Amino acid sequence: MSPVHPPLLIAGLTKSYASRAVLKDVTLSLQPGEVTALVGPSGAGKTTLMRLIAGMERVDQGSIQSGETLLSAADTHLPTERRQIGLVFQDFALFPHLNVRANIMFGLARLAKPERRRVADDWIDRLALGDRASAFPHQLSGGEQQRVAIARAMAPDPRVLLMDEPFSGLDPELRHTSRSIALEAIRQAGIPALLVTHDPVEALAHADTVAVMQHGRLIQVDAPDHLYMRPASLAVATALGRVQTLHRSALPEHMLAGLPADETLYLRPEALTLDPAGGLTLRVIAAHRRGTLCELTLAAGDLQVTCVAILPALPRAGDSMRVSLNPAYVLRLPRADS
Amino acid sequence: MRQPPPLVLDRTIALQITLAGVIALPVLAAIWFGVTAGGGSAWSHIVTNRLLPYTTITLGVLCLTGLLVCLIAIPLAWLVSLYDFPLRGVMEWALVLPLAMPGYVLAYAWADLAGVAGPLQSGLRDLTGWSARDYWFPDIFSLAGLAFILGLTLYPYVYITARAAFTTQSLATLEAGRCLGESGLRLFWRVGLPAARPAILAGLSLALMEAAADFGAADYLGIQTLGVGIVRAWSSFGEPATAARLALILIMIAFAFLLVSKLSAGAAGSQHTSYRWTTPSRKLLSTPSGLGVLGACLLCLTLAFGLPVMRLIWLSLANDVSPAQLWSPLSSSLILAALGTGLAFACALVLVLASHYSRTTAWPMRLASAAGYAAPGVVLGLGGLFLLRASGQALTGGLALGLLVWIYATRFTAAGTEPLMAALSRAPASLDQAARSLGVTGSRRFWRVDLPLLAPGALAGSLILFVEILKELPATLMLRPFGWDTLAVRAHAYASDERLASATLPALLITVSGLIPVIILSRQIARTGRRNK
Amino acid sequence: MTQFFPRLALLAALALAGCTAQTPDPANTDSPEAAAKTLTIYSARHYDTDQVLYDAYEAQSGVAIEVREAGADQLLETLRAEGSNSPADLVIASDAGALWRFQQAGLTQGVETDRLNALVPDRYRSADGHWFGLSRRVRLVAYDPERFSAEDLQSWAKLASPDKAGEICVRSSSNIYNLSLMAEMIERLGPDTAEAWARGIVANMARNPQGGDTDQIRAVAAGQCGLAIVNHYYWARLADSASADDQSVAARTALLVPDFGDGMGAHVNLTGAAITATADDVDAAADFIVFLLSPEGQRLLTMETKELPLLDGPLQTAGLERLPAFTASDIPPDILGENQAAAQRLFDRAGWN
Repeated sequence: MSPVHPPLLIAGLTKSYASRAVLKDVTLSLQPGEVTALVGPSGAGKTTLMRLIAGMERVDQGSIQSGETLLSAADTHLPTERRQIGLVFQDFALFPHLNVRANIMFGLARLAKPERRRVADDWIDRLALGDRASAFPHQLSGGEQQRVAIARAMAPDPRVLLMDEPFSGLDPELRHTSRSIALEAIRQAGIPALLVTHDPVEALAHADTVAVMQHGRLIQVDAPDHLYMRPASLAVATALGRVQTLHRSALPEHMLAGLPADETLYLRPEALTLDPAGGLTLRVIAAHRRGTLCELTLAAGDLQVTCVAILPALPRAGDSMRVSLNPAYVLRLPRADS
Repeated sequence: MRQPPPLVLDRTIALQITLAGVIALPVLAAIWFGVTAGGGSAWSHIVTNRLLPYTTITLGVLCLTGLLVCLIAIPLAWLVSLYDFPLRGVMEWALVLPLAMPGYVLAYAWADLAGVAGPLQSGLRDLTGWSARDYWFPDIFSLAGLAFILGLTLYPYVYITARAAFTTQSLATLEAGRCLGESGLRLFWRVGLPAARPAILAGLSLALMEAAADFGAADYLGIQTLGVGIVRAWSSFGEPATAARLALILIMIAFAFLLVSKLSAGAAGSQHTSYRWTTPSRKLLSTPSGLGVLGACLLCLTLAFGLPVMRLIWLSLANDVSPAQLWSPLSSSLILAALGTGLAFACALVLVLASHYSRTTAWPMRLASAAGYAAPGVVLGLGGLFLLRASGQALTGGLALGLLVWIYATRFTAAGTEPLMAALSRAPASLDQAARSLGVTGSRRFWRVDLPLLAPGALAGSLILFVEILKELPATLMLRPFGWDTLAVRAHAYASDERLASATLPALLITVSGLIPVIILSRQIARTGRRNK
Repeated sequence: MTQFFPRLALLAALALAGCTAQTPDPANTDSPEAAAKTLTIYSARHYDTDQVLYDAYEAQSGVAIEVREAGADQLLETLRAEGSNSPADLVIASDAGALWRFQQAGLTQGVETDRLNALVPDRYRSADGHWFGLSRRVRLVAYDPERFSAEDLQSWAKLASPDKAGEICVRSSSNIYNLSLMAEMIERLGPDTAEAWARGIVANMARNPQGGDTDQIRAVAAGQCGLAIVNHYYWARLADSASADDQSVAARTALLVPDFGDGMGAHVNLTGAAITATADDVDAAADFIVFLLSPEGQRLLTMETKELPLLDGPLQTAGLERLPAFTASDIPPDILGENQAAAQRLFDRAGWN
């Protein structure tokens, strides 16, 4: 339905502030109609990357281009206002003096008035803001403000949509609906989108591709499932979910089959399952219900592990449990990293 | 979204009401006296012959001053906030300096500079061989001249608020506007100006209230504003009650400004920005336009500060004025300003905290402080004298000192609240609850949470108060105790007797004493934009 | 729980009290060492030589002098507010109309002392001894001798004639000097003639009333107008100024003292002193007035102000050498006060800003 946009290509991007390197050789391509999530600890360089794409800063080395159009390079800098970038701020930054429709129409100055209105109303519908068109920002709920911010960024049909923690300020229920509506609309529009988030669950569940950043480098870029199950490094593994370490010697011999040959094993909590026929007997140290799943801390001698399970009733501390190990959830990391 | 906890605390409310009463009493005394005792023969004469001209001239001065203030302050604040040009860092704070210059001193200097016998016109005549009747020259002794003077002294109010709005509050919206394809002038008109409108209006309403309360500059330039009319009703007709009655009109005009600014600020909500996007990326201007902007800043500083100060210095040198007897007025000025700042600041602090914790009970204090700020110093001085008469005491010693400091608090509490409000509004709403959950309440909360939070605003607030009280003239003139002549009183005494040369030294000393706090203040203001990086 | 508001207020009060206690308070009349006689003066004058004058009297008489300087109106309101508690013994004001107003407000007392009456002629004091003149100020015309000759300006009436169109510089009507001039004119010529005169002046103005008397003289020297209505001492100060510019302004202008008509004399205003109703020692206050009227007192009073001494005498103040001789009007000075409000109304009607 919408014209297909070229991908956004970032190649060899480097940026320093006062001799401190913030981005090092970052290469990434954002595909049209796909949402790429950028995750990583704070200070990893996520915001700087966004600011460079948005043209708020100049790059030191490398390039940013949209298809054939060069946006940024060491000697080229297209100013923000001419880049056609859609940017959604963490706190939305809606124009307080304009109502919802006028906020969305803001970037459509080149269109004729009726056309502007039509596009804006279209986006108001797509983001389920139908009855709020003439409300002012301070009269909207957080979720509504956030959807207006997305609609405002999307309406001018930008080359790329950048979202800086757009859902983090919303409460869980709102976040869920708002996010579904918004991401669906973004994919339909066929625009490359970058979602900066610190929430790995959000990245895994909602992005088409996840890029993990650490100390200014992209350390892995892959499909969410692949990234979760086959992380290239321990850093990637921990960025996307909990990892526990287990010493090979703590396991009985018969359970070692099918496991990597490393001395130290890294496993997701779900690697251990409660199993009456399991080969490992452990004592319950603590048990907590975390919604659907219960989290148990188990121990035997030096060994202490966490496992999750669906349980109708929590066991008591001191109870004995039998546990089996699913080798699929034991991470196979490249040697150099482990 | 922010829901402050409802606080029903009798003692707190009682204190607020008491303080509101204390702040409002001099104003109420003046108004009550004006309404009950006014209306003598002078009143009917003024109503038939002078009221219309007074009012239209005052409104004319206010409109023109407001226009000038906006034309100077908003573009400069915009350029300084969003563009990089030579000496930008210096200009950013230097543009606040004219705040140290009292309006009447600027009027003395400019009247001398631009008068028919002054150096500008004499130079023109020498250059061209014209006589004084052969050419047209802008008349400083005119409504426009007064607006020029007031605009130059009052623009820093709007510059400060507008700059703060452009660099911190609405920065993310500016970035959003740029992403949506706007830049330069169009970004200014479509986003910058409308988003900063509440801040600009707040600054503008302060500036216009000051302009409405002006007496010194208008009197010196002979412009028949209400402020001058009030004094004339008193001095020519000997009816201070009629003066107080006229003042009521002025207070109403000032309230109208306040109301307009509050209403328009309330229509569009304000947006708070996370720290993430608060570092502006300034656009580097090309050399010619960078120098052009620098030139505009320098021109403004020269007109508002450099040229008048140099003229005053020259006058005092040419007339060989001796600096005798200035130590005592200097110390009086500093002590009075310090005492006044102390009381006004305490009132402002209570007002700000009260309105933070319970908005519903804070309005009497807000109203009282706004009324005090709107009332001209002459009227508050009269109110003070009426109170003195009621108490049956003599205007001497500690009593006179206390009365004067009280009047300062009435007049300036409102000026101290703005920076405190701003500091407090930057604090997250959840902070209060967090403090409570940690068991920190009452006075411990004040010392451990509120005060550290307010500290930056407190510094700014007390500096503004100090400078304003240093410049205050009419109330000090009327209520100071024996031997407490301030610099402003001295300067006025000389200038009103047409001994401008003798007035230059005290006038320069006021400016210098005010300059130090203003520099501290402006440097602090300039830092706020950078701190969050 | 929230006790910090009261504590805060207390703190503020304490801090304030502490500061107040520490600040030097030179005016503390209750202090024990004030047992020596103190004379409290409310003065509308402000000259550096006044302090010399007070010091001289303190040295001579042993009486301590305390002074509050402010505008006459403000001093009047202060006295009124203080009522019977006022410390003031003496009021000095630079205008007969202002002194009259103190008297009207019941703040002064009539003193019948032969020694004062012997020193001050009738026309320079209030009829019932409520105040006494100390020095004189003459309202006159400073003109450009290249445009006018003295004959053109002999009387005030001649200034209003059409041949002076666009030539007159004068300050605002609310100024006490213009009010007093008009107050006498109303008495001399009647309100109708006086109002017609004011309209004539307004029609002849070179520019809107603005600035002070000095500015008017400068405007004549600069050529913007041909004549200015000013008080004599502003011109004298220019003539005696340290600044060469000022001296050349005086050199380029000439002075003339107009009269109200044949034999009616020139408009003279006064600086004077009144003994307040609350003065505890009338004799001590009168002593000080006598001192002010002594040759030494007169010299110190007029040295810096360039006013004229109350009586013609050998005293010659620098800057007054070129002041023409004149005959002073002999109306009772109370008239200047009585007609003051009427004068302002008349000016307002005539459009004299």
